[in-house]
Amino acid sequence: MRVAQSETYRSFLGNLETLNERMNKLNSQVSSGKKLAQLKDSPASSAQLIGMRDQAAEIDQYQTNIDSGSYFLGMADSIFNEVNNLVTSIYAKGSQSASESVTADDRATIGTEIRSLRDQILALANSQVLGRYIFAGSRTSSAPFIVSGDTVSYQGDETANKISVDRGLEVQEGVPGSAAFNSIFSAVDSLLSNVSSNNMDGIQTALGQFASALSGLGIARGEIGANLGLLNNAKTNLGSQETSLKAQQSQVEDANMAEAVTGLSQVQTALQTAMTAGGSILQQRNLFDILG
Amino acid sequence: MTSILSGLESVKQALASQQFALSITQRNVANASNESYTREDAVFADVTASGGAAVSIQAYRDRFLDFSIGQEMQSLGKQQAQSSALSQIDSIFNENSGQGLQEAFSGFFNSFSSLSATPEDLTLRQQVLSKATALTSELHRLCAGMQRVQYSVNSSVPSTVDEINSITSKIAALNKQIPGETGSGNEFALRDERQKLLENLSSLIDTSYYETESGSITVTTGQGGLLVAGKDSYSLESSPLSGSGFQGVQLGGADITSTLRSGKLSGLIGARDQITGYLTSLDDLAATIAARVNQQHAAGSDLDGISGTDLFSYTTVSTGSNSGAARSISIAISDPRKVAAAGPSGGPGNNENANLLFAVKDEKLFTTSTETASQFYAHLIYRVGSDEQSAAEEITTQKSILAQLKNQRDGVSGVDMNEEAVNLIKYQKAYQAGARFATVLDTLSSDILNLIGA
Repeated sequence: MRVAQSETYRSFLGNLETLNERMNKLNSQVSSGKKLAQLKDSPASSAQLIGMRDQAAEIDQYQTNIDSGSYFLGMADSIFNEVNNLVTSIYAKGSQSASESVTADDRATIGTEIRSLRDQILALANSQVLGRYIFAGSRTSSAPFIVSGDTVSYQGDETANKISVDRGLEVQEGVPGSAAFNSIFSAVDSLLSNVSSNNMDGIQTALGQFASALSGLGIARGEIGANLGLLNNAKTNLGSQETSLKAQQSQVEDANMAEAVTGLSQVQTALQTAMTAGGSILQQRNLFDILG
Repeated sequence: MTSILSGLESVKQALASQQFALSITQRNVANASNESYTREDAVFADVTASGGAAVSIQAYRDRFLDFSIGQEMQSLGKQQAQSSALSQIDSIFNENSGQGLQEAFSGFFNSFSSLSATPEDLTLRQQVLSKATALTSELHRLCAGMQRVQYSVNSSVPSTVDEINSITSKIAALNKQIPGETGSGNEFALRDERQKLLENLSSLIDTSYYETESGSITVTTGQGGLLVAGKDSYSLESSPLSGSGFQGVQLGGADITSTLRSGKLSGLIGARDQITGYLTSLDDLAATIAARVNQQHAAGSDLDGISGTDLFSYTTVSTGSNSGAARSISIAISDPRKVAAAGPSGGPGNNENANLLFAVKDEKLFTTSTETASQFYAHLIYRVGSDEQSAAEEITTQKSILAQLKNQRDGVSGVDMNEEAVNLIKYQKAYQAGARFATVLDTLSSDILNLIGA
C-alpha cells in the first residue's frame, strides 16, 4: 500500500491535537476544581445550575429572614417578660392600697409608685428596635402608646407583618401591641383613678381586671413562642435543604478530582508516547537515505 | 534490428524518455509535502525503431474523493463560523461562574424579602434599588455583548462574499488557461491550483461543480445559481436586507441569503440568527419581569403611604413587541422612600407588598404560564449551550471525516518517497542501459567503417 508523506504527518498532528485538547480540558478541571468551564461542556448541567444557584440564594435569604424574625420576636418576648413583672408589681401595690389600714396619704404615695411603674410599662410598650416601634403594627415610625391623664391610648394599627422563611411558609414577625397592652393599661388606669379617689370597692374591681390583662399577655407570649418555634423548625429544615442542595450542586459542577488527576496523568503518558513514536516515525529513513 | 543508424535513433528516443520520466520523479519529490499536489507518473509507450512519442504524464486524481472533501469542507466551514461566534456568546453569559444574570435576578427578588423584615429601613430600601440597578446593568451587559458579537459576525458576511468573489474569478481565469496547456506538465499544476481554490471555496459557501469536456469547471451554488462558467465568473453581492437590516447575500440581483445551507457564509448567517433568538428571549424576560413587577409595585404604597409607581421603565420598538426591552430597561425611581413595600394604604412598617413582590419570583409568567423567570432563563442557557455544543461536536466529527478522506486521497494522489526512490533507480538504470546501447552501436558502426577502410 502506498503511504504518502503528508498522510503520516497529518495523522501524527491529528493525534497530538486530540491529546492536547483532552489535556487542556483536564488541566482546567484540576486547576479550577470545576468540570463546567463553558456552557457547551454540559448545557443541561449549566441549566440545572441556574435553578440550583437560585434556590441556594433563596435559602440564604430565608435564613437571613429567620435571623431577623427571631431577633424581633425575641425582643418582644423579653419585653413582655419585663412587662409581666411590672404588672405583677402594680398588682401587689394595688392590693396593698386596698387595705383599710392604709391612710389616704400613703395611698397617694402608692398611687405615685403605681404611676411610675405604669410609665415603665409605657416605655416598654413604646420600645424601638432598630429604630422601629415594634408594637405599633405598621405605624412603626411613631410611638404607638400615648398617655393623657392616666388614660393610655393605642395609635398603632393591627398589621402583623409576616416574613417568608421557606418556600410557601410565612411566619408572623410583627406583634401589634394593642392586644397585649390595651387591657393592661385600662386595668392600671382604673386602678389609679380608684386609688386617687380612695374608692375601696373600685380598687377591688380594678384589681379584678388584672387577671384577664395578665392572661392576655400570656396569650401574646404564647404566640411569640409558637412563632419562634416555627422559625426554629424552618431553620433546621433549611439547613438540611442546604446540605442536600450543596451536595447536588457539587455533583453537577465540581470535577471529580481523583478522576481528573488520573486522567491527566494518563493523557500525559499518552502524549509522551505519541511524541516518541511520532518522532521515530517522522524520522524514519526512506529509500533515498540509503541510496548512495 | 533493422539498421544500426535507426537503432541509434531509438536509443536517442529511449534516453529522452527516461530523462523525461526522471524529471517527473524530481517534481514529485519536490512536491512531496505540498498538500494540493497530485502525484504524476510517466506513462511509457512502446519505443519503436522509428522513434515516435514514447512517454506522457498521468496525474493520479480521484475526482470523487476531491468532491467529497469539498462537501465536508462546506460543513466544517459552517460549523467553525458558528462555533466561534457561539463560544463568544458563551463567555458573555459567564453563567457557570455564578456571576451572571441568574445572580442579579436572585439578588433583586431577594432584596424584597430582606426589606420585608424591616420595611421602613432606608438602607434596605436603597438595597432594593441597587439590586434593581444591578439587574438592569446585567441585562444591558448581556445585550450589548451579544449585539457586539452579532455585529462582528454580520460584518464578516461582506468580507466573506469578497473572498468568494476573488476565488471564483481566479477559478474562471484558470478555466481559461487550462485547455491551452493540455498534456503539458503545466496543466496538472494548474489543475492542482484550481482544485485547491475549489476546496477553499467550499469552506466558504455550499457549491456544486462539474468539469466540462473542454476541461473547464462549472461552479454553482448549492441551489444552482451560476458562480463560474467557463472563463466567466459571477460575483455575489452583499447588501442589507430590508427588515432586519443585516447583510444579505445576492446573486445576479436575487437574494439567496435564506437558501445558503453550508459553508462559512451560512454559518455566519446562522449564528447571527441564533443570536437574534437569544436576544428575543432576553427581551421577553426583561419586559415580562418589568411589567409584572411594575404592576405589583403600583399596587402597594410607599414609605409615605402614597401609591406605588413603576419601578422599571423600558421601551420597545413597537407596542405588542418586547424587542428592545432588555437594552432599554432602567430604574424609574431613585428615592428609596418610593419603594412600595407596604400594602395598599399600609403604614410605613407594613411589608405586605414587599412579600408579594418577592413572590413574583415564583410566578409562572413565561412560556404560556409554565415557567418561572429562573426556569425561563435556565432554558435560554440550555439553548445557548446546546447550540454551541452541537457545532463543536460537528466540528470534531467533520475534522475526522476530512482527515480520513484526505488520507484516502493521499493514498491515490500523495507522493510516496519510497516509490519515487524506486522509480529513480528504475529510470536511472534504463538510462544507463540505453547509453550502453549507444556505445555498443557506436562500436559496431566503427567496426563497419574500419572494414570499409581496410
